[in-house]
Amino acid sequence: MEETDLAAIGRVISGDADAFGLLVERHSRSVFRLAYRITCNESDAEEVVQEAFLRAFREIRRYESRASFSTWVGTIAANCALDVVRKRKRFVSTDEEEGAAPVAVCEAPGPDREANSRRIGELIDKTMGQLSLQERTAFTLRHYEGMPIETISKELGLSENATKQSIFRAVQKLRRVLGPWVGVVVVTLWIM
Amino acid sequence: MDHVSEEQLVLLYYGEPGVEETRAHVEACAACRTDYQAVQRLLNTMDAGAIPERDADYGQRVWASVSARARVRRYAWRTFGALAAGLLVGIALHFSVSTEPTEPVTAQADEQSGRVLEAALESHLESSRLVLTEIVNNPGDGWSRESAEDLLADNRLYRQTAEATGQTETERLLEDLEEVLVEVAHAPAGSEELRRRIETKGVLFAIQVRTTREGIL
Repeated sequence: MEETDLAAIGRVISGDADAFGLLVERHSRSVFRLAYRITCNESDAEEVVQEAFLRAFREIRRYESRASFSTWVGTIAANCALDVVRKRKRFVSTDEEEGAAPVAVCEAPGPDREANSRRIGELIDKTMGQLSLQERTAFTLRHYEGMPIETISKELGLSENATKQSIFRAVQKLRRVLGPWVGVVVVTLWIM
Repeated sequence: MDHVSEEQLVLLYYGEPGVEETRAHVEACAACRTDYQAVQRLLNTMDAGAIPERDADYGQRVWASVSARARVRRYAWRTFGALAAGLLVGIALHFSVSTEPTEPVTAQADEQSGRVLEAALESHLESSRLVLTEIVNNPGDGWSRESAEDLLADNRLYRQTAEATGQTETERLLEDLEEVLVEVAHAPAGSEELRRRIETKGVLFAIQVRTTREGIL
C-alpha cells in the first residue's frame, strides 16, 4: 500500500530525511505547473520548485495537517514564484509589465477542432502572461489549485475583497480574449 | 432578485461560500443561466493551456538537488555553531584563568555563554540525531559517515565549552555522543555492529529526552 503524505512527513520529522524525497517525487510536477502558471517561464518555474521544496523541507515542523501537503507546498511555491517574478521585473522593460495591451484575436477561427484547441492553448498562455502578477497568482491559486478565496487572501496578505477583484479582473480579461474561441469549440464538439 | 453579476457567477462556479441565492436565481432565470454557461465554458477551457511537461524522473532530480542544498546549509550552520562554541571556550577559559575576576562580571558571562551554548547546541544535537537515525535505518550510507566526522569535530568543541562553563549534564551527554561519533567516523560502511552499538548506548534516546525537555523539538 502506498504511504500517505502524512506518514512520510512523520518519518521526516522523526529523522528520516529521505522520506522527504517521496513527497518531492509525488508533488514536484504539480508544483512545477503552478510555478509555471505564475512565472510564465520554464527556468524560473524550475528555480521556484527547488526553492519551494527546500523551504518546505527546512520548515517541515511547521506543517499543520489541517491543509494537505500539496496545498501547503503549493502556497510556499506561489510565494516563491511571486518573489522570482518581482525580482525579474526589476530587470525587464516596462513593455512587459502589467497594463500591456490586450491580446488581439487576429485571425478568424477555422473549422478544425485540433487547430482551435491549439490556438486556444496559445491564447490562454499569452493572456495569462499579460495579467498583472496579483491577478495571475490569485486566479492560479483559485482556479488551478482549488484554494478558497479566504485562504488565498491570508497567504498573499490581501483583503478578501482585493483577492476577489483580482480574480474577477482576470476572468474578465480572459473572457474578452477567449470568449469567441470558446464558442467555436463548443459548436465543433456538438457537430462531431 | 435582479439578474446576477459576472462576479457572482464566478463565485458560484468556484463554490465559494454565500452563493446559495445566486444558485437559486440561476436555476430559475434563463438569461442568467445562459450567462453562467458562458462562464462555465470559459473556465472549463482554462485547463487547455500548454504547460511544458516534466519527465518521469523530474522528481528524483529535484530531490537530488534539494537534498544537496539542504546538506550544504546544514553544514554551514554547523560550522557557524562550532565557531560560536570555539569562541565560548575562549571566553570561558579567559574568565577561569583571570587572576582577579569580579564576581558580577563572571556571573553575567557564565549566564550569557550558557544561553549561547544552548542555542548552538540545539542545531548540533538535531544534526547528530538525524545522522544517527539515518545510520540506524540505513547502515550502508556513506554520507552519514562523512557527516559524522564533521559532527565529531564540532562535538569536541561543544563538550569543552560545556566543561568550561560547568554544565555537567550537557557535558555528560556530549561525552556519550562523542564516543558514538568516534565509532561512526571510523567504522566500516554498512556495519551492523555499529547500528547495534548506537542502539545499545541509548544516545539517540538521551538526545530525544533532552531536546523534548528543552522544547527544541
